[in-house]
Amino acid sequence: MTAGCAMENRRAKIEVRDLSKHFGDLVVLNHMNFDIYDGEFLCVVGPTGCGKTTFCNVVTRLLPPTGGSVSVDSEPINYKKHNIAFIFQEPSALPWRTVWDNVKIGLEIRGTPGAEIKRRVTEVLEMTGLIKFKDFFPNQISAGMKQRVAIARAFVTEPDMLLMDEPFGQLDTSTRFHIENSLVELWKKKKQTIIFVTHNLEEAVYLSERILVCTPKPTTIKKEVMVNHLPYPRNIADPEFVRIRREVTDLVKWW
Amino acid sequence: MDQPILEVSIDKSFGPTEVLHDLRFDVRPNEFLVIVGPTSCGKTTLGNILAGIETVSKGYVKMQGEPVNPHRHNISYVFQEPSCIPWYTMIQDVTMGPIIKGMDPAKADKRGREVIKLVGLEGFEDYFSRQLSGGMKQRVAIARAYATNPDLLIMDEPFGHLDAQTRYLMQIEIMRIWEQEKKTVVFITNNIEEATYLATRILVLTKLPATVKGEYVIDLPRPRELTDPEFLKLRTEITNDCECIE
Amino acid sequence: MRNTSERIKSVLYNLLSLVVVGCAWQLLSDWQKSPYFPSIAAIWQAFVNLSTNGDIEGITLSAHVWASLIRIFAGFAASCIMGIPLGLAMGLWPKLYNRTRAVIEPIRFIPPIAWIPMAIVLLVGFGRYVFLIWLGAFFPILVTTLLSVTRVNPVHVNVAKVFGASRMYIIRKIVIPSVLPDIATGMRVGLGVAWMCIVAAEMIGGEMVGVGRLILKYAELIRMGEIIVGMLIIGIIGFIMNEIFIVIENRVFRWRSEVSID
Repeated sequence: MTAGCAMENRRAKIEVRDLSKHFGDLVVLNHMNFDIYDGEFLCVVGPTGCGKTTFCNVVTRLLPPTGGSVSVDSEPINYKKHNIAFIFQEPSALPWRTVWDNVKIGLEIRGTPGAEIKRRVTEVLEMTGLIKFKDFFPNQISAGMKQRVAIARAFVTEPDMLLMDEPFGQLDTSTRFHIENSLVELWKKKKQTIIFVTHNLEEAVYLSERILVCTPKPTTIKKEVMVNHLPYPRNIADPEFVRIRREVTDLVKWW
Repeated sequence: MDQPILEVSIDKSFGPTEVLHDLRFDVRPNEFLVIVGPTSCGKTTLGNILAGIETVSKGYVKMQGEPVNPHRHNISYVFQEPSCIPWYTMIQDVTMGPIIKGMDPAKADKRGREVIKLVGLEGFEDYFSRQLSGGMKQRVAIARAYATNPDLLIMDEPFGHLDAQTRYLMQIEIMRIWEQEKKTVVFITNNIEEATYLATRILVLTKLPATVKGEYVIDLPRPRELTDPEFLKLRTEITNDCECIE
Repeated sequence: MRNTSERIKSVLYNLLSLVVVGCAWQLLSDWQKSPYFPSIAAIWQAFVNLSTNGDIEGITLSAHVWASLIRIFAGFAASCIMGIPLGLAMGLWPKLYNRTRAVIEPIRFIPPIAWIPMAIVLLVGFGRYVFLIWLGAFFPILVTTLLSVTRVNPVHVNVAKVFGASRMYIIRKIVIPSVLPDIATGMRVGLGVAWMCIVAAEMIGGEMVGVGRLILKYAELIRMGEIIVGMLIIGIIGFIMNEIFIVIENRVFRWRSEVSID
């Protein structure tokens, strides 16, 4: 177990108990047990085909679990009550809406009053560096900016949980660094609970406070690696960073 | 020093937009030259020009003293998108190049099987591309590129569409293949970690209009270690040198 | 690939749908009790009669079907022979299409039926049939072929280009295999449209034989049973032709589906 502050002084926002998911005879998720703490940045990593996407779908109740439970604030997860935001790998900005209209859509659906919408959208667009582009359409902006729109759209609704499934996978490295830094800034200000799923181990160590390493199917949590002792923004050449990265790489051991 | 394989000095515009400006460099025999630069800095245009399938606006690309010409010179290209021909089996796809170049079909078949083995896909010769994963498809493209024994092999972000772990595997693979059959390679990428891992020499390009900004000779021993302090130092240096865009 | 149990279920549900429609028809027929709404038994009787004894002129059902099929295939063949090469040429040399659009496009939008007066005046006999059918099939085939060329993946073209392949090689070995599936689809659609023109064509053709002609004969006599048999025959044959085409397409273009082993 690595050094790092334990999460004792934080309350558990989301509790996953004995979670299992079968597809017929195929066991994908197998008795997963863990907590997600309020306002933490958690990364989930694992080899290809370890059911990470299934895990996302089950935790957000897009698919019902075969066994076990997921609860938010000690209540079973409930779409009407709990606000779960999801950011996909593919750019998901609605092409017929401007950046501004895209970002406000969550608030629109929830019936937030206009003045409040204006305030919150302006704030989040400024934080993601999109304010100058608020009247642009998605086809006029780059892929990196489209993903920022998706992030802004998710953050503006102040969700109980923000789930991101490899959102930067299709961006090139330089854009990726920029957007990763923006995401960390946004998270530090808003203190949202984030679950970030990725294949990219360096990204996981760069972003998160805590990493959960999953096994191949049937998937359980192999190990928990603490990263919250590293200050932000992180330095990929820092010896401790390197050590943690090596540790996670060895744990995943996909080759 | 040996004669360069390729001498490049080019300007390229598409209409009013200047994409490449006074871009000058050489490609030396048997080197693994990596060209890095931000996205949409014209790297793919550069790749196409080097292969002779795109024209220059001004200047030249000379291979062994003459302007580069795919009908005369033996150049291979690995594209960023999956480029397997869907109606061909793997062996047909891989032997396409040698046959276009006039190789005897029996010899081409032999060479085809040789390169399929080289990239680690032995046993899959009769598979169609739809049956292969992303990583395997790119390996077929690499095999096809090797089959003609090219004087120059150009790769334009070949691992760009693969997920991070497959990408790492492919980087190791390409190194293994290159050690086994040494060719002159020009490798284009925006990923500096990848560049530092693979290259004997790195050229850094600016944003549009692109020109050569910096050059790095990498003489770290192989196989290289991504978390090695020397490696990280170099990588950080190059990253800082490279202009990033958003 | 659907598994066997899914296929069996599919067939059973299809049979069930047919039975439901049949029952609904029968109920309607019994309720209406009108000669214009024949029962299933009456339709069946008409079918048997037409097959064995023939129609009022003694021409059997199979003779009608055969005559129509020959006309269809003649017209369809003509439209393929003209449409595919022209479509390829226009796809490969876009100027050819762009500079003739003002002629082609308006003609494309004239429905085959509107050509009937002209066909009657200018053509006779077999020619009239073939002409109308050709009109139906030609444009879908032309347009699909043309568009298929624009959808050839440029990466595949570049693969050959880099190796120094000639333009002819690229057309023969890259463009043509790429466009064949789309052309096949265009042909299938064209055949369907052509078949649907058969009634219109046989309305104006001179001969007494043909499934369209059959319907018209009995329309004058207001014999609904025979009319329905004619309509059903047309529908069923069209359906069968389409299915056969699809099966052939799937076999020939086995390389098309996107199924990965990983």
